Amino acid sequence: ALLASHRSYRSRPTHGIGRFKYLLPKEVPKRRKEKVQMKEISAGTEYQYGDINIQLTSHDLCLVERFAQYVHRLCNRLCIRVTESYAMPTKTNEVLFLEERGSKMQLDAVLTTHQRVVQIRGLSSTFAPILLEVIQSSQPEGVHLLMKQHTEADFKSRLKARPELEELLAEMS
Amino acid sequence: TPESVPPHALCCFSSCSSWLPQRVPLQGSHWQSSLLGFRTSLPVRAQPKKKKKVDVKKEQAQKERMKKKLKKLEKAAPELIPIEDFITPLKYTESNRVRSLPALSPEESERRVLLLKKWCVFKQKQDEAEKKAIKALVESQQEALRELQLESEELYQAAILRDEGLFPFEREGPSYTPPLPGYDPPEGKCIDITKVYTQ
Repeated sequence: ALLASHRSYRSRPTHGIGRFKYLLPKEVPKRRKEKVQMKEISAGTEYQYGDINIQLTSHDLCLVERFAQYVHRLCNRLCIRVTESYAMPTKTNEVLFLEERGSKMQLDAVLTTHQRVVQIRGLSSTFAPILLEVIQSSQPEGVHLLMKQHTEADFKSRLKARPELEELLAEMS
Repeated sequence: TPESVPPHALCCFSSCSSWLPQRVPLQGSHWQSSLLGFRTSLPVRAQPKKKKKVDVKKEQAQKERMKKKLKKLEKAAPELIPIEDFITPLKYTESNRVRSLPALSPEESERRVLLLKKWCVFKQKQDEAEKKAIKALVESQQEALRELQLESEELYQAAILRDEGLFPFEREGPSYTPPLPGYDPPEGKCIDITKVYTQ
């Protein structure tokens, strides 16, 4: 690129003597905050299921995370396309019980429920029962398994609530 | 006499009380602008008209303000709820305490390494057994479908179609012990104290 021009003095040996930008470290372009957008939900054909959510719920955090990792790796090994693998927000519950002699509720425990979701696409109809069987056989204690179709409502439940927007929309209509 | 009413007043009353529009211009019609009935003349430069104008303008301004607010709120992208599992509480990052582990004897470390190797072999056997089981399942399924296709084409086509009743599928994990017979749990309740995030 140095010599490819019509200007004659660019053929001199001193051409490009002031260059220094190539010596500086490469600047990584600033990443703009990616907007959270819903991916298209595929409905699937007659011989294939569309987007399916494998939801694993449990009180034990480490166990549910390990099981989610296992399911993800299993799907990778069986060449099932995994579109997303995310965590749902944790729910906290306070368990109170009534004392034997008395009417006061006593605090028993504070339980946290964790949920991990593995989303798969293009599961063939003949292979689905086999996958279900394998996951069930390796399901650990205390982990609740739920497999269902992915819907927009599932995606919306991950987003923050916007009461002001909803109020304005209600007022406008 | 009070009974005798002057004739022109009578005709005036009769003309004013009728609801039909009169072709004949009424008496005193210089302040009645149209053929409307009595007491229904058009408003002429009175206070109520100004109020209506201001109201309409105010309403329009309010609507535009609301629309602008709505546009601004809609422009902001929706955010995901932050997951508390992935945020380490501050109290674990503030302190500088370091755990000092005791030194292991060579027999102990040898024992641990051998145990790790045994565990690896066990897990490998487990994984291989699982792969073999999956392979056997798939093969037997394929063989069954082939035989079915030889038997009848339409049954094969129906078997290939996806099962709508399969999802949603729910299953509780196995429990360590079966439920105790005749167990009377104490009464209580669960309160949901999850933090609600708003944008």
